[in-house]
Amino acid sequence: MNSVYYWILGRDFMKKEYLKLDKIEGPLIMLSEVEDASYGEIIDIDMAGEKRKGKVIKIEKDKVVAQVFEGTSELSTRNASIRFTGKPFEISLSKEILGRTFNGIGIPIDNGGEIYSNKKYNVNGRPINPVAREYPRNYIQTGISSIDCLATLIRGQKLPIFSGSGMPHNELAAQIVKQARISSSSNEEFGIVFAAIGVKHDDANYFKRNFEESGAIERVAMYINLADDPIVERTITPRCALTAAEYLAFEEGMHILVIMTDITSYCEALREISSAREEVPSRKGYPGYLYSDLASLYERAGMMKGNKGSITLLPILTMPNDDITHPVPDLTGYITEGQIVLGRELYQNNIYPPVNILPSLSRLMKDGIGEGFTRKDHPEVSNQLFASYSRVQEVRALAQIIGEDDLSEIDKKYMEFGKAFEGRFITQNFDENRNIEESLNLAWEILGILPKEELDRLSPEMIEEYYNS
Amino acid sequence: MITVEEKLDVFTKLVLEKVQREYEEKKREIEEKNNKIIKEYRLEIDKKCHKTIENIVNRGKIEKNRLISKAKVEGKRIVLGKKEELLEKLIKNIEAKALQFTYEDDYKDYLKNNLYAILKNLENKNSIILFFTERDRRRYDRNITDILKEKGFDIEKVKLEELDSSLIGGVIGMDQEKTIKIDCCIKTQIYDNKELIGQMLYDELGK
Repeated sequence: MNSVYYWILGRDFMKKEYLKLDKIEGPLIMLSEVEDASYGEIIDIDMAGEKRKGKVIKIEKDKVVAQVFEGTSELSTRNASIRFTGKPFEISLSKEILGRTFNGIGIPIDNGGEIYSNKKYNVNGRPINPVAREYPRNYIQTGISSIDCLATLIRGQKLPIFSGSGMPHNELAAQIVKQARISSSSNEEFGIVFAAIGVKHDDANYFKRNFEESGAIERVAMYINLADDPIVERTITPRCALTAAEYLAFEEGMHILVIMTDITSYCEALREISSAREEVPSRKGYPGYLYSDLASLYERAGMMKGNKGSITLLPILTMPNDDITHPVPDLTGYITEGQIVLGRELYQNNIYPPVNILPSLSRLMKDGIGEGFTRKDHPEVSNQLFASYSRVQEVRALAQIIGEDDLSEIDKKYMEFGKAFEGRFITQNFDENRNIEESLNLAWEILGILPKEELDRLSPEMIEEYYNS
Repeated sequence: MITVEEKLDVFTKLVLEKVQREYEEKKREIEEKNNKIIKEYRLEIDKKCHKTIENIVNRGKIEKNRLISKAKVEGKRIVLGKKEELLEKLIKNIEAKALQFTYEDDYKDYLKNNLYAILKNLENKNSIILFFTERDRRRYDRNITDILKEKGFDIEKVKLEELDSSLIGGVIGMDQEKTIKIDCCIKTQIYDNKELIGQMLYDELGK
């Protein structure tokens, strides 16, 4: 203890605090006569023992504008002391974060105490050098047939889920967290970083309870920003989660799946802050830099040469009015490598998870499936399912005009295939975890409804080996 | 010659045989049908049985996972709680040690250095307030005045106030308008380093 004591008192120490604010405006505070402040620097705010944090967003001579993460409620120009830390926003990280729950700015909220580590990381991260990027290979099994078979999630990929309000994306996220695992039998470590952005209290409790009950909690680090938490905090939450993921992936060599829900709440927070800063609005009032801001998050996923870890990103976003051309899904689609779309019609037909496979796509799946990864028939089977289900849509449209009874025999087979595909393949219980083998076998079982000659995306060898076997 | 009775006998026999055959045929058909139904039903029951067993096993597995996970999480929380308790205890010990330090000779230099640092930061202010503990004021009043004079401060415009004894020692400086505060007290210094203390403790515990 003596050494700790001498070490503390021997350190240069001086805490300079500013006791008077010039102005408070929304989440922003203004101070003057400030010395040595730097852009992006974090400030500590002390309000009679209540601690808050903020970030310098503007400096003009000795005047500073800072944005308070926890909001400015109850803050007056005379009841707080402000201290400039001289550092950007950093969080302490160690492997201990797995199994822990943090708030939106990385402060533990599970009564487990602080994370004490000498490893502190700037939440803004560092973009991966494009030359150092490694092309994603191999896959992550989610245990959900429609995703694993038809829009396979590849390690290092960024694959968003496009949902809508009221749709079961939270259940899907929880199910993926419970079931996700890396494919190979190797002893590589796998972990999940879960960021809940602007979620309701009951949703946050739902996630926590689910992860605890399923035993997944041990390998999950949760960052929760609640709907009634300040919006500034919301803009930090995904960055904290990604910083934690970067640490676990690139320092600890783990394969990390980052699930973030809901990115639309994040974008709305950005819009609100942008408006408070009086910035020129762009499409639907979102800031003009929404694209680059989203890219600064999404581009943190990937794999690096010479590093065995990976970050796979599964952001979930709700499309206002189910509009896929809305700026959030639209700009997300430019950056990410495909999308999984949830269909409202499927959901209304009681199909869970309501993955609408036709607009869904995983651009990298071709390089992470097939022999050596999943099973040799996987690429052909998924192509055939897409083709056949697409034909089902045409047949259904025809049946609406002429009636189901007047359809040709082959069209009736397609109708039967469509029902089986939606009812048995896409539909899955919340607790049903299908491995890739089971999903592919089920796909063959359903393809068995169609006559062999209709299976034009499958090679004769595959048909010989798997058709109705 | 065949009598009527004999004819009737033969006829009866033929009819009986035919009925018997038909009966056998029907019986066989019914038996076959029933067997098929029984077989199908048995298969279905078997399937349901397997499904039920599977469901029960799955539920059991889920419950097992839940209990194991709950125990692990609880265990981890207890360990973390103990570590946190240990840290609080260590900080309390450091505070006690620091209080002891305020009685030592080295403390004078420590206080002087801090006072110099504070005055440097407040040199452009006309009137300032300095907070010292009552004991420090008693013991070092002369030294404080000397330093203030040395740094060119007008003694009349420097107000000395009492620092809360719970802050252990050190000095806090403030301008008269209360716009800026320079805190160099020991307790703040200890709490400001809480993270580093925790880090050192956890590193030691991890060894």
